[in-house]
Amino acid sequence: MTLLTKKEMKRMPIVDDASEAQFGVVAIDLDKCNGCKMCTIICPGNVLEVYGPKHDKKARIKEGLSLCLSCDNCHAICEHDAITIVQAYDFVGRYKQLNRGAPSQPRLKY
Amino acid sequence: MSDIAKEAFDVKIAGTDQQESKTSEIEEGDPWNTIEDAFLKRRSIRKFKKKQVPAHLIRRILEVGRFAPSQGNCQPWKFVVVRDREMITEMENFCADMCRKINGPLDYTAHKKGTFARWRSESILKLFAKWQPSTVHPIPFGAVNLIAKNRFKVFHHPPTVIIPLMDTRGIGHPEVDLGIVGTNIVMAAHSLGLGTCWVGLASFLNNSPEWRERLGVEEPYSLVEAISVGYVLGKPMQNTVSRETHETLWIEDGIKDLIY
Repeated sequence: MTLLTKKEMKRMPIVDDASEAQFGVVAIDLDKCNGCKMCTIICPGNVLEVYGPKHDKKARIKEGLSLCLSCDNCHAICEHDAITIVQAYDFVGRYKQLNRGAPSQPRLKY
Repeated sequence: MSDIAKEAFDVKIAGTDQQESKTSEIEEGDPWNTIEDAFLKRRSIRKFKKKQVPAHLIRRILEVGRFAPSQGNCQPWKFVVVRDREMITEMENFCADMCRKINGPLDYTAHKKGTFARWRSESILKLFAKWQPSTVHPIPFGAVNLIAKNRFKVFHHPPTVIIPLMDTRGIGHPEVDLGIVGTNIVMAAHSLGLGTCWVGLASFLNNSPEWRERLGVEEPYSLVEAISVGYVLGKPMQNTVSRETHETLWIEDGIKDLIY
């Protein structure tokens, strides 16, 4: 038994097709976000931006092709615990993620 | 001294102090110790302060690197330290140019679906993928795209770059040994309150005769990775992160089990 067929091994996912490439997804708690911009500065995928009226800006995922690599660096830097990864990236074909469970923080109980 | 470093001195986490009897006292659910916590909170830093890191700290980090384990103690590395901002910028520009050259013909996302240009780019990418499939994994493909569009700097503008060159004559798998020495370097820097980031795209420099000469990369050495080092901006390491759990095969007493 193999985890990927030969056909799948040869198939490259189309990155701007949502059915072939699922990039990371973050959830932003708008009540906690104060628009400090730190997550937009450190995001390696250049995925986040702040928007809204002058004194009430909030973070959000930019429109268009999002290249979130589900690193959760935005969560690590957020002082208000307002943002976190809810879904990791996954692709069809050669780069399908294998043997993964749901995202979780470091665990001490097993 | 950073909080992490202070704590490390306080609890004397050095291997010599960690007696076996102490290890057995740890019970399930006990909090992370200082070293575990350091590994869990280390992040790749992509935004550095302009301030240069003192030379003695870099020397100190390299000392920790020097004592990394390697296959047959062959120590298949040679360090190059670049602390010249102009040179780092030139290195960034060179790598960005390479990204543009690769991205230009391969970037099918720049064209509308159904057009000839799109079909052409996708075809070139498929051919390229047969030669170097992991280079066109969607994530590096996206990174090259961002760099080509000047929305991202390859080395993230650090004050110092440490390049552990790999001796290709290393025993067994020198790439692994290079990863281990890099981990020593990165964690030593982290314990001193410095930020680091591995830069894989730096390997473009290895294929340029000009850069090989400027960085002293000669046979049998090869430039495979670089590590940016600098002071961090903000508090990018205050929380731990979420990561996917991994299926693990657990073999004990002749029974195979899967855990997550």
